[in-house]
Amino acid sequence: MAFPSFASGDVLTASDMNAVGWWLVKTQTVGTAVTTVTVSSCFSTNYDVYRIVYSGGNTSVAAGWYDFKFDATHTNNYYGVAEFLDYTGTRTTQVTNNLGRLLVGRTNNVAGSSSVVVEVMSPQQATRKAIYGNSNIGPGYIIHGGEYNVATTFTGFAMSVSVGNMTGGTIRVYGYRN
Amino acid sequence: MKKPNIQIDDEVREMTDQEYADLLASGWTPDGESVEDEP
Repeated sequence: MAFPSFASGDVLTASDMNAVGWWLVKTQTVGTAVTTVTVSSCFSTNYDVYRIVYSGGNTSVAAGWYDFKFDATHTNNYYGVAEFLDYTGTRTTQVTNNLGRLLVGRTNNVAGSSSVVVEVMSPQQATRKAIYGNSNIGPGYIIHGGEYNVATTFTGFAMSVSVGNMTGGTIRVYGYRN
Repeated sequence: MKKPNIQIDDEVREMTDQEYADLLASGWTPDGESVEDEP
């Protein structure tokens, strides 16, 4: 089916709307000087895969990490790796071996610099959850991938910083059309 | 001493003692090597 082009006043047909690939399911503004932001009630059985994007904010301290975990008190069962490559060619690799969170981005204290993308598979399915993505930190990038290896279902997540706090910007959660 | 802030959806508040203990247990520090990553 060709991609539809809509004009003002057009009727939105079910077939066109059901072909929309991403749907914005929740928007969360980040407050001032917070160490953790919990975004609740954003995962449902409507979608198997979600994309989380955080942009427009900044942190109080640079060169730290953004953490991700599902919205529960976790101390283990996250496994993965995050790799940061900067503009000098310096590579930093951090592994997560059975901890309570995954590393998903690098902090930057430049205003508006937050740049984190996390894809989450199967938060509402009784299976392990793959969590992966990338982010940018000015003249460098981060790739990350891992999993939560328990078949528990979750309806939300929390994003934290490993040092200092974060201010401003917006977290947006999109569902991929099943 | 005021504890750090936590945000749950639209609510921003000071952490409870337990939340702060959990934060510290995660390895969080209030400040660190403030290194500019920008050239």
